[in-house]
Amino acid sequence: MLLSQPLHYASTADRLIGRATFGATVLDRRNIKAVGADAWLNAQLTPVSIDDGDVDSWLSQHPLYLAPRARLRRESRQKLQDSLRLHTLARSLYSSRQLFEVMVGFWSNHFNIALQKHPQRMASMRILYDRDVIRTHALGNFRLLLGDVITHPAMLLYLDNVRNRVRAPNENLARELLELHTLGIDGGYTHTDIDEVARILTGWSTILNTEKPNFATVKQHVGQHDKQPKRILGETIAIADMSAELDHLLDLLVDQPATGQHIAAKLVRHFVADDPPQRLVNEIATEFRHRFGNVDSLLRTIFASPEFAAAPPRLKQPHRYMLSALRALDAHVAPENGLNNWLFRLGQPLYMWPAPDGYPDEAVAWADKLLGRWNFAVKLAHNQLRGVTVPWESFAATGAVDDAIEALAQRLFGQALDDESRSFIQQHLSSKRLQKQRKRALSEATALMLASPAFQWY
Amino acid sequence: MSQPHCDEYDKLSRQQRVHRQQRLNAFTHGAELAAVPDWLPKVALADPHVGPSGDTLVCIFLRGGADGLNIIVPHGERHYYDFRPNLNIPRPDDRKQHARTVDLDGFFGLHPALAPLLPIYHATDLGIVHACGSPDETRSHFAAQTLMETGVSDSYSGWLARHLATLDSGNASPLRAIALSGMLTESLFGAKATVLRGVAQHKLQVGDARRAPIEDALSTLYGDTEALLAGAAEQTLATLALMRQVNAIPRPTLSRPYPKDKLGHALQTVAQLVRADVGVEVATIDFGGWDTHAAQGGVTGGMAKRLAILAEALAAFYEELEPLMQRITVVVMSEFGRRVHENGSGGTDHGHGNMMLLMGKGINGGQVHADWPGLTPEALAGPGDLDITTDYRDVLAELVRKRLKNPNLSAIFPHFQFAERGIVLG
Repeated sequence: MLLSQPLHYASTADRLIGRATFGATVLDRRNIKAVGADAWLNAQLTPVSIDDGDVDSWLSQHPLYLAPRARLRRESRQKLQDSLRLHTLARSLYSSRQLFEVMVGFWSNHFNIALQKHPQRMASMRILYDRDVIRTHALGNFRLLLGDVITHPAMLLYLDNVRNRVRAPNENLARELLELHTLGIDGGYTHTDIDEVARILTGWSTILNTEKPNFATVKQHVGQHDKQPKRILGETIAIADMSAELDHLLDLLVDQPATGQHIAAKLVRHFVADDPPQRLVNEIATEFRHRFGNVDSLLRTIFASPEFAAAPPRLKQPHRYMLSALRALDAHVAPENGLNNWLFRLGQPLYMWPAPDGYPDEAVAWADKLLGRWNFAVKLAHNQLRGVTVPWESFAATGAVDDAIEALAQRLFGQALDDESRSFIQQHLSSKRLQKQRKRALSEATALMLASPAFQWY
Repeated sequence: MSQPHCDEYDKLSRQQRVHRQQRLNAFTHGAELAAVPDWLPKVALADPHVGPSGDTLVCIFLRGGADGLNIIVPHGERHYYDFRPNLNIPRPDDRKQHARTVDLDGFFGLHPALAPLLPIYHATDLGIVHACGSPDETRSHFAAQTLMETGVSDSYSGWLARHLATLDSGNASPLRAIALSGMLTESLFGAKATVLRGVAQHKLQVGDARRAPIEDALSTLYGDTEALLAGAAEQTLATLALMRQVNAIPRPTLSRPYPKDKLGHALQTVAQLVRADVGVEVATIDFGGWDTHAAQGGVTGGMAKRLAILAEALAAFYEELEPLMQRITVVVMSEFGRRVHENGSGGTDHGHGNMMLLMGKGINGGQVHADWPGLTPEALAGPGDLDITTDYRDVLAELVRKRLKNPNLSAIFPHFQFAERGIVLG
């Protein structure tokens, strides 16, 4: 029966809104039907063309995330972390620029910075990193994104480059720049290359604001920079100016075929399949090099590919599972809510993956967390999530319980239940207790649908 | 200070490296989603050995590359003090220091924060191995952890998964393998294992009257689905039933309680489950925070605090389970050690050789097992690291054969020539 199987989309357009958002809503389905898949995607790839007034005004009531640096400096770690998570949650849930938000999530992961390391200093810097770096380039150019990532105080602190000096090198950032951010672990670099990259990165540091030690800005410490020539991937680099030297290195790295393959594989995995089809990966890798890594055109190619049209179901990661449920039910989320705690219980708290490689993007990493999902389903369906209300009255208020269940199924799955699923639910609701209470019956039916195998896939 | 790097090392490490993506390809085939198999085809597995399971094995993985030289201190080694002018743990007889290495055998000693383990060591229930690890030269966390947890094999599965697949102990418990961590540990990939936060927390949050009908409904829904989630659901439901029973058993009072930390809670949970006799054969625990590139501290500081938690948790576990310790083995390991030279940030960079700890009545404890290569510059490996003279697989293989009663070592650690080290009794 439908409820028991990984969800199969009725059309490529359905798959598009399913995967280019954090979960299709009734509005998404209406929109794409009205304007067609091409126009819908074009709009998503030009986010400024989409009015986002609703979420902007929601967030304007909680302005800490958007505050100027001077204000951020004065705030406590807890408040800053909360505001970052709230901002991400609100935008993931409510922004109409969904593909942009999906890519913000993607790059935040690829260039992961965890909040737990140097938590006091990191809290404000992680907000700036989100605002000024990730959100500036999410649908933009990879080379520009990379440049801003590597020189941001948050990254310099996270990967210990603030301690990387001539005659006292620290290779942490250099290693991850090659292994995770660009070439990938099989990208053909040697231990010597890591050392040489570390030498190029010497002196890229931060200065702490002496009045408020929780804040830092980037500083190029020329005195701590290793000025001798370096040799990386067979090329000698001897450039006096620190910035120009780093630019040259990043150009070199982004130009390597291995980098194209690495980024392409991750993008294709994210939107198509855990086992990214090699033909499409190759196409994206080639395009990556020719277009200097312009993300929007790469996405266009992915969504237009035959592999996307034939893509198998993907298992929702816990974060997406939660968001897709809330979105499908048009849930109202208050600023004071327990969703962040739920993300811990589901196994995917925001900005807490402790290593620079980010959350894994494969089904096998997430399949074992069913209990958390079932509990979330139960709580959501019974209105027992702090700060979350589902407007049941607006779509399941009156009429037969069966009709209400159909309406809910359309919201959750974008298609009607099959007979078997229908009778399965009816049978479950046939207990005397539930017969008498329409509301409870609906809650339980919703819980079962949210907890079903079908709703775990997208 | 930095040594010339031989590209040979890099080539060698790349040959042996398991590409994470290749490994995970095993789990999805084209348009169809394959099950998580009990073992994966690249390793030729013998038929399972049929026999009773041995000890309950608790594997604690120190994530981040724990600095073994500051945990089991080679205080008899002059170069240790030369290379670590600031980070060293003072010699046992250095009266000028208020905190010093706790001597074990005249050459090695414990970091003072590990003092709670000393009685266990003297009871010969704590054994230590040094200069050990995985021979691969990689110093990448992710690669090293993956290699260690897959048993340096070409396979996609974890070494513990292969152990479980090749030992038919007649144990059908859903808690046969548990992971006390956020995510399934790589060593258990391929096994049917349960991720657990704690005993009391592990339940469906519905009213008593609705619990059974809802669990039945879920059972029906998931009984019919593709294999990945069908297996996960079956385990989840069976575990819920079991936890209800375990939770009813009363807890003991300890003279030295568990530390209030994730590790303390994890070991306490394992102890509770072991005492409830619910068929836990393997438990994996993650304990992070060991990647001390900067501000590592010496006798005090961040790492010392982690060590105190480790020692207190192990001591409490030992006390709670003392009557059962002849059926329990605890092993503590990390993906690599750290560079002998301290760096310019008050820390240490990724290294190579490391220590392992083993606890249990079946361990040949009360000694440090080490074929010590020394720390003279010529003896160091790669860019200046402690060499490895005992492959960690020798340690684990002895555990598997003698304590876990599984003779299928070549399936668990393929292409490996075992050497008996006498680390385990028997």
